[in-house]
Formats: sequence, C-alpha cells, structure tokens
Amino acid sequence: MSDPSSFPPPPTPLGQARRRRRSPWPTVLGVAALVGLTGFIAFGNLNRSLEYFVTPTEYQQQQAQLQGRAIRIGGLVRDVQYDPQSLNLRFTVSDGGASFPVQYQGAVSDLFKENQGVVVRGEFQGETFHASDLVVKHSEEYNVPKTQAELKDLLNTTE
Amino acid sequence: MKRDLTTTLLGGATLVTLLIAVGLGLSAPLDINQGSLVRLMFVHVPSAWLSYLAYGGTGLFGLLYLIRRQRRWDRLAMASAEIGLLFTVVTIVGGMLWAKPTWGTYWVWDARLTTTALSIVVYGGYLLIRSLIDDPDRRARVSAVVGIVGTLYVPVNYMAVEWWRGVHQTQTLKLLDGIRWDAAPVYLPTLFISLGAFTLLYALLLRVRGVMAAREEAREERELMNELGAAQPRAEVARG
Repeated sequence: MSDPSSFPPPPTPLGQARRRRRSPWPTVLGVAALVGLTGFIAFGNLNRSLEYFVTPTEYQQQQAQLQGRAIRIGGLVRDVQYDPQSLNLRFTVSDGGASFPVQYQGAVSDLFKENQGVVVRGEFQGETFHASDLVVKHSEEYNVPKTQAELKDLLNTTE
Repeated sequence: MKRDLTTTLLGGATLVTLLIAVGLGLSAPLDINQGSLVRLMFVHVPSAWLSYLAYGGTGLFGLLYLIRRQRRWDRLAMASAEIGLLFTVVTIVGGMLWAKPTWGTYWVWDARLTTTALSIVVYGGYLLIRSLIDDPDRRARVSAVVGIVGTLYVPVNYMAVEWWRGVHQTQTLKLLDGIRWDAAPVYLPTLFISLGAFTLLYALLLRVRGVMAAREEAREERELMNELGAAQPRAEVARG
C-alpha cells in the first residue's frame, strides 16, 4: 500500500477522489451464475452431449434417432479379423448386451486386441458400422508380468 | 541475486528428489500391456498434480489478498497461475506423447482433455485481464475474484473421467470411495517420489517467481517516483 503523504503535494490541491460505493449484487449474481452453469453442465441434461460415445446397447435403444448419423460407439473388441497386408480390419464391438460388426481400414495401435476397449467413429451402412476413426482405450491398471511366459511374451512384442 | 539460503536449499532438495524420481522411473519394470510407455505416468501424473496445486494456489492467494489486502499475495497468485499454465502445457504434451502409441491418436475431444484445454482459456484469460488493468490494487482485486472462481476447474477436471464417458482412463490411485492403488505395487513409491519432487518444484518456482515479481514491482514504483520527481520542477516553472 503506497502512502499518499509520501508524494510531493500537488500544485493545485484536488479534492479527495470520491469512491463510488458499488452494489455487490452484480458480482454475487455473476459468480452464482457461473457456479450454477458449471453445476448444470456437470449434472444436468447437457451431460448427454459431453458423453464421448454411445454403447452398443444404447445405440440399439435409440436406433430411430441415431440412424444415418455420424456417431461414436464404444465397447469391447470381439472376433478380430485383421489383414496386415491390406490393413483391412473387421471386428465386433460389444458391451455384453448388444454387438455390431465394424469395418475399419488402416493401422491400429499396438494395444488393439481381443477384449480391449475401443471407440469407433463413423456410420452404419446396412448392418455394418464403417469406422473412419478408431481410438483404443486402455485400462488404468498397470501391471508387471507375473510369470516367465508373460515376461517372454512382453519382451517379444515390445523388443 | 542476493544469497538466499531458503531458495538454495529448496532448489537442492528439488533437484535431488527429481534425480531420484528419474532414476526410479527409468528403472521401473515394464507394464504387461504397454511396456515402457507406463513410465510416462511418472511425468504425466505429477505434472497434472502440479498444475492443480498451482491453480489451487492462485485461488488461495487471491482469497488471502482479498482478506489481507497485501500486494504480495497478489504477486504469488499471479506467479501460481503462470506456473499452472506452464505445467498444464507440460501435462498436455506428455499426455499426447502417451496417447499416440496407446490410443492411436494425439488428441480426442473427450471430457477430460476438453476441460484441460479449457483451463488454458481460463488462466490465459486471468493473465490477460491482469495485463489490461493498470491500477495495481484494482488489478489485484479483479484477478483475485477470477482466480477464486477459476479454481472450480480443479474438481471438474479431476472428476471429468468419472462424470462423463471418455477415452481417458480413470484414476489409478483412487481417492473417492476408499483409497486404492489399482496397479502393481512396485509403481507406487516411484509415483509418490515423483509427486513429491514436483511439489517441491512448485514451491521453488513459486518462490523464485514471487521474488522476481516483487523486484519488478519495486522497479516500476521507483521509475514512477523518478518520473514524478522529474515532472515536479517543470510544473513549478509553468506555474511561476
């Protein structure tokens, strides 16, 4: 805090600047609105748009609304058929309840395997989901190999 | 710089713990699925922790400013916001390098990543607002409020993986209902030492940046006084 008396006195003394007493209400309302908005985003109906993907079961239930639209489906990988030459990948995405066949063209992450979580973006063409993007999810559980066989397997795959 | 034993000791402790963390991190056993990529956790998680700590600091120091009205709390709040931004960028870069070989992409717009990107907007805005206000007391008051409201980012970002479905995995160290470590026990001490090292790093950076900000402010005050002193005789002449 600077002490006003330390300044040299001004040539023509001005009166003490009048401080406006502002109502605190705009600030309080503004903060409350921000908190409310955050709460609304967090718990309210907007939730739906923040969900990154739908599960196969949800797709089955909302098929009427979602059909023909570009969507993301997330689930577990089953029945992988991968041709490393043509990079043609076919598998089934499943959440236990419902499952759909997926087709994807391109290289995938090394973590892609049976029972791995995956999120595919694309649209249905007939019964098959044609994915344009494929993201592999991984578990937050990190583990070291417990047996010699697992260790050998790990060293072979990661070199 | 003057001899400052606290800064030197803090710097030494930070350096030593960081070196221990690097040593432990690089010798940590491979993960069964990701191999050596799991070691990125020892950088990614602590840098995210540091950014939370720093943003929390901005809120706390802002609150202290509003209560005590001492300019040094405002300087610390500003220093903390800068550190938070820096380590948000570190977290994002580290996360992208981890995401590419595991998820298969550098970036997805899921809830965790989107809210993290939003923090750059919030705290970039905080620093922008500071640069737009010339009156130091008004600047401190306004930015304290922004800093306190901005702290909401921390719980929202932390909970983003629980509240919304996304690609980012949930916490490995679960704190919500009962503390649980969902990984091989061998990784836990390394993560903790790394978290400790980054916490010390925060304290060190905050101290150094705070000292720098105090000196900048002292210099500006001095220059202002000099200008006023130089302007004074001329005013007398004009009057006389």
